[in-house]
Amino acid sequence: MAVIPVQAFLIVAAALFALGLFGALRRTNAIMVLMGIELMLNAVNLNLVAFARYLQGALVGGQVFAVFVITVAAAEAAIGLAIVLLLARRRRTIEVPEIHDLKG
Amino acid sequence: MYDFTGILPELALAAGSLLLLLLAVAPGGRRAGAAAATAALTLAAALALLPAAAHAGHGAVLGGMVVLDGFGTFFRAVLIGAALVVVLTGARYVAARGLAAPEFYALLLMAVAGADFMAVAGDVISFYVGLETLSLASYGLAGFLAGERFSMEAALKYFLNGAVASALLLFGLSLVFGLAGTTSLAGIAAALAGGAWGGAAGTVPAVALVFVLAGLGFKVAAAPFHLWAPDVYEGAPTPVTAFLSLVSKGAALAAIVRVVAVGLGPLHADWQLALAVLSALTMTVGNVSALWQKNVKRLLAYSSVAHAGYVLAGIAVGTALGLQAVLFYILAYLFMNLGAFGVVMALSGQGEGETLEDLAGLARRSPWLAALLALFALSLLGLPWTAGFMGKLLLFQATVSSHMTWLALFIAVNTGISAYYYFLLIRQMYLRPAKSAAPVRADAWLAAGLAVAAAGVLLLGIFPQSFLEWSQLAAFMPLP
Amino acid sequence: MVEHAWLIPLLPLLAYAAQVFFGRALGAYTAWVGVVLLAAGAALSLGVLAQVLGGAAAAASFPWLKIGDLTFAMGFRVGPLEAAMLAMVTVVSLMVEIYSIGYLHGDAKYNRFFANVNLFVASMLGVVLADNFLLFFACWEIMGLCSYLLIGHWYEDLDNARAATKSFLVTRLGDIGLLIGIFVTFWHAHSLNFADINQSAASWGAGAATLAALLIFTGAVGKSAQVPLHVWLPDAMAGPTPVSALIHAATMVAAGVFLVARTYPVFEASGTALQVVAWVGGLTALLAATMATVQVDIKKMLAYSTMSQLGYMMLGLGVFGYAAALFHLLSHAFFKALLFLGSGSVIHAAGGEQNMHRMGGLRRKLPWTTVTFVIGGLALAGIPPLSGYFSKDEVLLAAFRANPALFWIGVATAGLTAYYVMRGIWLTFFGEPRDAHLYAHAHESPAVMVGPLLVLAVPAVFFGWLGSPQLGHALQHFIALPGEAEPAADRFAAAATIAMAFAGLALGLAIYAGGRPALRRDLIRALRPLYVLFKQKWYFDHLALGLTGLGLGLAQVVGALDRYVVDGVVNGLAWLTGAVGQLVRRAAVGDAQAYMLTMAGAVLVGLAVYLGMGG
Repeated sequence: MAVIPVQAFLIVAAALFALGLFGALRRTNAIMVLMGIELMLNAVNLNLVAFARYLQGALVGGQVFAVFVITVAAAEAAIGLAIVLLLARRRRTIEVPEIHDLKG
Repeated sequence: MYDFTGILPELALAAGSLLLLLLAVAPGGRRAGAAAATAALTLAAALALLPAAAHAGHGAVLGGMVVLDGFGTFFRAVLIGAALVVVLTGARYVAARGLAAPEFYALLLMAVAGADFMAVAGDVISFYVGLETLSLASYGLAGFLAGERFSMEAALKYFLNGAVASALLLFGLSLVFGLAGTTSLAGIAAALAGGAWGGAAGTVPAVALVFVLAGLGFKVAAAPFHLWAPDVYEGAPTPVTAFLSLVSKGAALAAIVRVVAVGLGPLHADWQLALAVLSALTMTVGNVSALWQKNVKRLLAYSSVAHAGYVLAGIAVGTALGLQAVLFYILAYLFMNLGAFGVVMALSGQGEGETLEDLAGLARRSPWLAALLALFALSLLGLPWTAGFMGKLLLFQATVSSHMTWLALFIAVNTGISAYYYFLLIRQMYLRPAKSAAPVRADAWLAAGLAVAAAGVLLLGIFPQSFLEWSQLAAFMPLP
Repeated sequence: MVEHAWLIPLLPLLAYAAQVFFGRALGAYTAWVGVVLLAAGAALSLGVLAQVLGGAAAAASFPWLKIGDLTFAMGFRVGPLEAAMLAMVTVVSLMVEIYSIGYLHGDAKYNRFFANVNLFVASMLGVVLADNFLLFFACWEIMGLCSYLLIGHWYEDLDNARAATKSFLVTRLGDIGLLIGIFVTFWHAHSLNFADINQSAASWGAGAATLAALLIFTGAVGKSAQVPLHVWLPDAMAGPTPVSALIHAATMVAAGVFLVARTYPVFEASGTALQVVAWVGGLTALLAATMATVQVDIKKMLAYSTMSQLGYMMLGLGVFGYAAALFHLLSHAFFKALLFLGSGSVIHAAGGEQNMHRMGGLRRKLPWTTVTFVIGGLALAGIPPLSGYFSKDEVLLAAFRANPALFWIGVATAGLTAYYVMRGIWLTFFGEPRDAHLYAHAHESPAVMVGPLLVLAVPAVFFGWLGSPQLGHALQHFIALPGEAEPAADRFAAAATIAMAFAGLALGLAIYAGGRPALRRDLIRALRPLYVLFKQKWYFDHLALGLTGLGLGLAQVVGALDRYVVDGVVNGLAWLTGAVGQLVRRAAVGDAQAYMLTMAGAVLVGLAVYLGMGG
């Protein structure tokens, strides 16, 4: 069976990361920005499990790390959504570019 | 079975945080005073447990997740202590502005626990979890003035930028893991020293290094990753601003030492110049941006950006002398910023504005507060006999002796630039007539906090020797 | 006693602390706290001086900071020069504080004034006693801060606040040079201790010594108001008059001269630097004297006179007249403090009026002030046997032996000095009252102000005798550098100096005492270009490219220099920094995603650099 080289995973992960970053920068809706960020974190996870699979004796470390990233990402999404919710109530908008009172 | 003695203070903090959340639903438990007292007692207990924790062992414990050494103990003491002072000095503000006290303090304690883990991290995983614990709690804290648009805006900006930055950091860390084959910082250092890197020429190592530096740069607000800081500092409740500039930044600087100077230590040659450039850029951008600020919190935000730049210079040097200068500077920075934000807290705690004009004539209204703020400003500027001066002197010595004279010059020129706006602060207080004659009152806790800060600034400035001797002890340094 | 000299600065510091912390409780007694502690300081200083005269000396230091293999020590030392300076500073400041009790009576910020003055005195004494650059510079900066606060004492008037800021910024400019000079010095001497620096200076090489000396001199130029950093001193007169007497005449401005004397071997190691010192001093002496001749404000006249006399001191140092220059520093402190306090008494009597043209005839109303002012004025003019005569004569003698051109500049300055002194005295105290209302309300100052005048008049008369040839130059021998040669006396030089002084007095008398306004008008018309040049302060302050019609090439050069070089560099740098600041802070546009974009951009740049370096 042909082995897929680790570089393939890295390239996919990098592409995923770039897509996520693009989304985070480009979308104006705060929820969509948040999703872009989730995409970036998933790219990280892909990296971690790929390395864990390919490296000698690093299986546990990489997978544990990935589990932690997934957990933290959930918490991050929770607090992010809470902030967006409060913002929507207070300002009636969740368009990021419209929120720019603090500057200079 | 693991021995958890080494992280007793952090366990206490987590327990205190949970207790506060229980308190929030208990009858009568929502009073601000009770919550503040609980938080303060928890922090005091954590401090009291610290010696036991520090003596629980030396080196890696808990499966390598935590490293017990002088460096970590120093930072835990400093971070918990700073948080304690913020809680005490900010209590009046929290009560007066009607913040949801139990939740506020619960988040704050959680954040301190996270900050502690960053300072003692022996593993990329524990470092990351500590970082996120601190960050997620901080996002919430920044938006705690839920009724105020600035506070909400600060929270959103902090959150979005922080999330992107931590994604960058993680991506870099995942590549480091891939190259070194382990998540342990010591293991990474060993693997790198053994040539696992394959030189910085490769694409993967370069990406890893740049992404890690960017993520950490965000956390310490190094330019050009600093843009969130002024907005968040201005919009957040003042005690949170103080917390961010003290605990969050202190922990981030400790983490840079742990992750970059120790974990990636064998690659010193590859990151030294990058960190030095980051340092020069940060101090310059921070100082020139501060020149035009009207809001004191924003001004102090830029000032603390600049100070992070000074500290980065010492880390970039990477020698024992540089690290010593870094420790000294961080301690000095904590005292002077604590003091400066304390005075601002006194103003905003009684509902006064936070612009430079609101400081006018403070010398006549409240001579003590004015004199203290002047002292802190002079120390931030680096006038002799203050902690800030000693810190700069040490950084100077460290940079020059490592043949990075150009970086020393940057520090000197930036000190000159910063003179302008610190001087503006002092001029407002002393040479501008006051708009109102009503004195600005500091409650007893705030006064005590300011006294501690002033004593620290003067003691470090006048008798630096004992601290220097203490920090020179071999066990202190995390360097391999 | 001499080993306890370090206590002397602590006494005014204690007064400062008491006034800051218990100012409100002390109420009207606040000034007396300072006076009593300063009197103790003065007594202690005189005791120290007596012991040093007997051959005692003291020095002590402790290692304060060790960084790597470097050790910085902190300490003090007392030798003859320090002992003499201590006595002068404490006595003058004691007199000024007593005087201020009357002068600032009823001032809203009475306590604050005395607190700042005491802090100033403490730091000045620290400057005198410091045995190392670190302590010296710290005290030097605190001194500048106090000067700033005291010039801006009446900050409700925005002009005063502006003057304070100007003085602070201009002297700061010099201090930056000094700071760099300290680094250069440290680089070569590997120590910040004055003794080490002075010992090793000869071995640095001429280039290094020149660089260090010139940078140190920049600090002295700023503090001592020498050309071209002199522009702050006349504006500093916005402060209360006792402050002008203490800080801007007797002590702080002389600290620049003291600094050069302190590091004299560094200057000696570089002949060039000494030349620069001499010429800057000589030019300042002459330019300032010309400007003093056309001032109408009594305090501004004295301010220019102070600049001019400080120029003499620098000139003396530059022509190897170390002892002579410091002799002049000490004697000048007494009579110039006396003159300023006298002018304060006049201003007090005249209800705040400072324009001499509106005074006149005040001698009948202010007998004591008149007598003491005249004594001070004649001492300044260098009329024998008053103290200014002997010290100025010594400086000019040194110049005569070293450089004839500078000698003649000095002699010309002496003539101008005598002239403006006579003009000032006559306009103020003699002739007929020119403002009836002012004259009618004038009254002699209270005893608490007149007393210090009388006390200061004593050294104004007698102090110079200590350095007179008749007493064998006792003072110069006391403070001289080891092995310093005494310039041989010269009858011609002495005669020229005295003749010029009397000629100046006579000219002043002829023009002003003659009571012929027509003569003055004619003179001004005949000398119009010069008059305008002096009046416009040689165009140092405002510039006048459009004034070509006057045909004053020199004025233009000086004016242009001032505008494009001095102001240009300062303003340009400040503007540039500010503009960069405006630009950089624009980066904080307020949009969260713009911040993220900046981060991403920085990451890309970093990647490009790393990959570029690798490939």
